[in-house]
Amino acid sequence: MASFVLKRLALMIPTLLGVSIIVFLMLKIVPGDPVNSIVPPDASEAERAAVRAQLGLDKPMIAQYGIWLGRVVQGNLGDSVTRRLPVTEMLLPALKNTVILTAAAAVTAFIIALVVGVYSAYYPNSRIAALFNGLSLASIGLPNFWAALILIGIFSVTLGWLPSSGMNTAGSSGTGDLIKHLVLPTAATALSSVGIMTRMVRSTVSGILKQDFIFALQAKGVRRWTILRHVLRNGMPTILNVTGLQFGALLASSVLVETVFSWPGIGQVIYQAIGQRDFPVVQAGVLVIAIAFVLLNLIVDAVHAAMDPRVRHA
Amino acid sequence: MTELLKIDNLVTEFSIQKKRVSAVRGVSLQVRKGKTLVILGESGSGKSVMLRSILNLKPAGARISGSIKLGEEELLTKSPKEMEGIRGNRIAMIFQDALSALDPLYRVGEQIVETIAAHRKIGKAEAKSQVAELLGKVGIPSPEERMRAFPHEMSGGMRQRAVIAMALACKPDLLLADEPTTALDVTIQAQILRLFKEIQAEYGMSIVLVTHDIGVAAEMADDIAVMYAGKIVEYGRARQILSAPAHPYTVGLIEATPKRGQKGKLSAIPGQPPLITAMPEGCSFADRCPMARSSCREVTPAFTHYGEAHIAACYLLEEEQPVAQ
Repeated sequence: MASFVLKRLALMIPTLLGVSIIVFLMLKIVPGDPVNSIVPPDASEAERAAVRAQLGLDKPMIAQYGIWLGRVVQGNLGDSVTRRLPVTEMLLPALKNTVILTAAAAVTAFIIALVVGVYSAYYPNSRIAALFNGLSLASIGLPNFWAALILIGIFSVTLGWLPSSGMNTAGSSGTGDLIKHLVLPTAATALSSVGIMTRMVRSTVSGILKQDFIFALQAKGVRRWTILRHVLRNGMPTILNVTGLQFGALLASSVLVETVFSWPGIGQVIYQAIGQRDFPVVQAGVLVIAIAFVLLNLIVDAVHAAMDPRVRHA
Repeated sequence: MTELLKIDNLVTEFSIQKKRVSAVRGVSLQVRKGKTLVILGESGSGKSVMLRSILNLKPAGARISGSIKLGEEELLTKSPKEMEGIRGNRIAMIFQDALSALDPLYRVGEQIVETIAAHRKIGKAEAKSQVAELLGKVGIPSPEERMRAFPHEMSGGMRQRAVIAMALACKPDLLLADEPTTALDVTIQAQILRLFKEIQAEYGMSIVLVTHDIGVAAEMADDIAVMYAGKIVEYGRARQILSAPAHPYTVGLIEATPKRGQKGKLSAIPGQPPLITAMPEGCSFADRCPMARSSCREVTPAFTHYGEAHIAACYLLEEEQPVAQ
């Protein structure tokens, strides 16, 4: 098991290098100059060149990437170009908020998908299963940011039940207040993942229900709940894997959802940094998200190996 | 009373694309106490479906009708809860492929404990020692150790023994075995069949064994029922059926089996059994029968009795009035 984890950790390095190169190139391709957001609009060409040299932007692209990578390896993610702050100081508190939001969305999506998916697999011809099927298709089709606006329109503006933005009401910091602020962003983030995960759970469980050992369990006269336990145990590796992969989609949708709800998370930080061409922040933000995604899937694979003796012994 | 199980006019219907089709079309059988009934037939004859119907296990939308009596109790009118109490407890089942009949993620011992726990109030330690005893009884060496194995860590023969141990866990009155040796190689087959005989001698249980292998039937059967296209075509004592088959289908089956010292080409029954979605009128074997005549394709033949315990459904026999016994 230890060697399995070590091997997977080593495999993370090329993945993360690839991610950082792609993000670096994308930032170079998009039009816009970070210098514009630092110097006053009437600055002379000499002043601009000075700022550019100070930021290291006058060097060749490969050199720029090399310098950045050299610092990152030493744990230094650099400074924000526009806010003159160390990137870590900006990202770490934001990361915590994003983890709260994505975790809430992942848990919500997981629970709904499990209950609805298992029900639909057990009673595939029921009207309720058909309804769920339609709803899950619809949820996959709806864009998150649009759903976010609709949710705000209904629950904040019309009904006035839930706050539409931020993490806390000014001057209060209770958990209850946080949860109230969390409901709408969680719903908007989880939306498309719920649909995909429900369909995955349904097809996984209905595949398991067709297997011979389920029939053998019935022939043994064990209770329905015991059979359900066997079904879930057999389906869990697949379901967790899908959840792990969906985590990437959840993080991606958090960029837009956080912006719509002014949720002070990493997505919002990245979104603003892209607008200001604040390259170090974008680079570091994407890197942090990539690390979170890869680590989470590493954990999922380790859990899978722990749950399935055939994988463990292979 | 010598019958443990009495099946009367059993019909199992499915719906395939909104059409109702019958896989089992009016089967009547008796299983004697402590004896083995072999149900012989080729693939698709409905023998597995019939076996599953005895446990009232059916896919959604299927319907089972007729009567299945275990002792004096009618099984088809029992509630799902009551059937749970009978399955694995008074009637146990063994499958063709032991690997797919076991949950791959649970240890073999756990899966046997589960069966016991479903039907008996029993402590963990006691259940474990019972499992070890059962595994020892079915010939698994060092059972204490093997009960901690996962299914994929056992050989095919060992797995089938473990499945048999699981079936024996609650000392059932009736053991249903669906092609239990088909997936095993010949030497292991012989061992497993011997094991069946040993446990039958020890527990005094009745066995219903489904097979397409006449060799297995000859080895195991006290009674034989030959099944074709969802119906029993011949039924009686094994010795009589094997030595003096009455129905042309049984004759064909026996002739299609290689015998020791036999030279030349093996005879085969021409054609395919009818599809259950397109059953012909009259005798369903008529299209493949070398002795069929026009009347065979019009009305289904009834059973002709030969003495008390040998019946066959064929017009030919009715007309020839064969001498009983």
